Amino acid sequence: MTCWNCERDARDEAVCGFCGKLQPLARDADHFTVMGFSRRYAVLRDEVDTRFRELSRRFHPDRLARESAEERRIALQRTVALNDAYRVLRDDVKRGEYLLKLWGIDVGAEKSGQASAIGLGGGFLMEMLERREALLEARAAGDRGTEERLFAEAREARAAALERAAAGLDEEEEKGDRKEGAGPGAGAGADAGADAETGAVAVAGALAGEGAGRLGEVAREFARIRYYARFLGEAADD
Amino acid sequence: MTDEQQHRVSGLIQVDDPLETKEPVAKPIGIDLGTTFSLVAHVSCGRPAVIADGARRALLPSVVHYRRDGGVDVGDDAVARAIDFPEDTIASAKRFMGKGADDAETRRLGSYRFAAGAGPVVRFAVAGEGGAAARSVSPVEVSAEILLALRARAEKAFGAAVGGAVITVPAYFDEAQRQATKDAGRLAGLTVLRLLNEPTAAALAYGLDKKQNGLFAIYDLGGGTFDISILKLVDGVFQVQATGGDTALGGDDFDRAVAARLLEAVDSRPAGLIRAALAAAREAKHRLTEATETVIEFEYNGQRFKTRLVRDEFDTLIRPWVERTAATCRRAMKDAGCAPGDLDGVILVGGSTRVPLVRRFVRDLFGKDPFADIDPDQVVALGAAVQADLLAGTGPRDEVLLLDVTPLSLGLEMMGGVVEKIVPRNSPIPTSAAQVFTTYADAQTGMEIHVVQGERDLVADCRSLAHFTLRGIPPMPAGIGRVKVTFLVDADGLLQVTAEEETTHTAQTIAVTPTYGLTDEEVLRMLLESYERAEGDVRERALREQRVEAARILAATESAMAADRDLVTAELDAAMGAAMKTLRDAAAGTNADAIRAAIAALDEVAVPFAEARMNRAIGSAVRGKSVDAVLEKDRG
Repeated sequence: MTCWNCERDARDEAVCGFCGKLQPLARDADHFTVMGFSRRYAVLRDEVDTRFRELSRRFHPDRLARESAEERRIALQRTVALNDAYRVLRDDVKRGEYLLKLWGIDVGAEKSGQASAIGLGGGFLMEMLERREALLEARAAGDRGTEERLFAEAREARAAALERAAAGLDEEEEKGDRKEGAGPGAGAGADAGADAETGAVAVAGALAGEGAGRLGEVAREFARIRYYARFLGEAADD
Repeated sequence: MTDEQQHRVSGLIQVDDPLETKEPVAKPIGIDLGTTFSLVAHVSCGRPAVIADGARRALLPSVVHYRRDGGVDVGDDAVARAIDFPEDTIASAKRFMGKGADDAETRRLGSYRFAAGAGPVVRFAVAGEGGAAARSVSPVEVSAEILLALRARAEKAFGAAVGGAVITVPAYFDEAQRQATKDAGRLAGLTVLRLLNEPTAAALAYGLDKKQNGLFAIYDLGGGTFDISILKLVDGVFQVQATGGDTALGGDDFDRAVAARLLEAVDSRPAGLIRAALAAAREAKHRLTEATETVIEFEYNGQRFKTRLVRDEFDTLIRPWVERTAATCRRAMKDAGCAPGDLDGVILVGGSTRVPLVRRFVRDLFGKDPFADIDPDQVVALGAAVQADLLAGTGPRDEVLLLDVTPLSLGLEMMGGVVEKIVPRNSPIPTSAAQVFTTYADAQTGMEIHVVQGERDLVADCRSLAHFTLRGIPPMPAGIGRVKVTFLVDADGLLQVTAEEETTHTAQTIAVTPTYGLTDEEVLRMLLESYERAEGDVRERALREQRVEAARILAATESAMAADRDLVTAELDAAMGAAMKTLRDAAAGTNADAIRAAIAALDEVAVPFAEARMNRAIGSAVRGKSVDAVLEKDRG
């Protein structure tokens, strides 16, 4: 990339090696690139936190109060991108869903009514329905004990689903060269440069060709996690 | 993020002003605009310090009195008039910032007179030229008077203009309340460098003082607002993990609870009585910090009220309010993913944390003794001064960085009145987030965008921030048109929303002006009015000066005439008598120029008398001096 200030080759560095000016973020940078991580699921929360502080220190516009307006604008662009990346990567669920999205599977495209299409199975939905009914009954009866037990079970089920999803993602990463973004769903065009928001296709579509792929199972786990999260949302926000 | 989104984000930012000012700003200040008291501080020789007034008072009561002659008193002068003019003296205006005319706050115990039918914003009817309820002022205008007084105080101390200001706000202030605060700053002629969350400001003051890394809870209970923030400090980076609060909970509520008890047996409660009871309740609250019992005594209209209050009873009265903070604290810890045991310290901020019950409650809740070694009244202003110094580029503290979060989720109304959250609460700011929506009808050419703030799932339960319509979508079958809505929250926590139809790039951007906020036109009108008033102030000062001068000359002339009565001829007596009457009449009027002319006329007719006195005085020292100087000798 050409430096906006001295017009020499700044390469992909954050700061131009010739004039020392801060460079804008590459336009196709995904959240992992923004935070300087390789594209994999297994990132520790502590690593994310530490990297976030390091990068904030370097690029936050408040630190560049005496620099030119252009540099502070670039700093702001980098900081907004960093904050967005941090919000996603520090969260085990969001990070997993985002990774799937980069590989072309959009768990978020699943809306009510489409669940069976992505193969959650009637069994799962029946199970959730039963949980909800049991919750309503417990509430009507003022049975706090049962209520708490239902939430505890849902929390456990969610944790187990996340564990399975994480294992699935780790396995896929080990298996191959997914670092560069070539996942099973990449045929949909979700390479590093594509719009993560819109380039991904719905799970239903992505899985049509992939069927029983490991990632399909991971996507289903994340879809289930969403159901558990919604159920747990019913718990009094203390 | 996508290409065009980033492009847009950096493009949008240009609208915001602080980035355009590259030069270090001279004399930055930090202002704590509090419900009960306000303070101003600055950094001098690398240390933050509060700026006191001429009488060495650091705290400026956040009270504004509107006089019947159109003048305005702020602070202690206003407090002095509160009992006699309860409705023309506005206290706790902060509780009404960004609030609608029908807000619950308007129905609680207080001595306000609300202006009816004055639009969606709360307005107080106060005195002005023309008598009682001659004008109506918004909470923003009241706050601007307080900021103006603090600015004047700082400028007097510096002997120079103030460059820019960091103004603190409760962390849990919503978009409308923040916008209102920024408007007040603009109205007071301040360049607002940043709206800084109060607990974060306090942490900055503490963190720099203690130089200790760790995870801290900041429990901030002020006069009218409560905040809890969980903050991690690592080597100078202050990272807010989660925040929560209640913008209508504070020491004022303790006073009201006690005042309500004082007035229990009273049927008729005029505004002056309520104000007197609130003042007595507040003093009793202060005494009960040390004492275990106190006698509350006050008088209104010749009627005496006397009650004994023991601390246990006081605790019972205020306990419901104190306990309301517990759930908020637990939720903040849950959001931050921590338990009380993970905390390295709890910091107390705000005058209400002096109440023994509050201290005990905090200790029990977090399981440790809280820090309170920096004056809880001053700590926020000190932190704001440090941040102002950093942002103005005048400070050397390169090692310090504040990273704050959004207090409330931001979202959009979906079909069926359901909220889709776009930016979840406790997201680090500045931040952006986008969501794509598809058109739902064939040949749909517009899309209604309704921006809301809050945690609830239904639009009806959230705060409505703005409505706008994206037009010009080309006719397409349902589900084909794609509208991307991007939220951008800046470092002040203020929001900007962009909607764009992706196939045609039809875009619309709005800086969200909350439903209860002020439009740019309103701010402009108020600014113009304040200029007019400033002009009025100049005129009034001239008038007062001339009146004083007239009184001085009349008194001096009378005493000289009495002393040298024999020198006053009948002719002189008639002429001077007429001139003196003219001057008295002019001084009773409001025309400063007329008074000046009458003074000159009296001086002129008095010349023969003055000369005669001069001759009598003989002394060579007197000779050669002007007539005026001779008269002056007696005027002394």
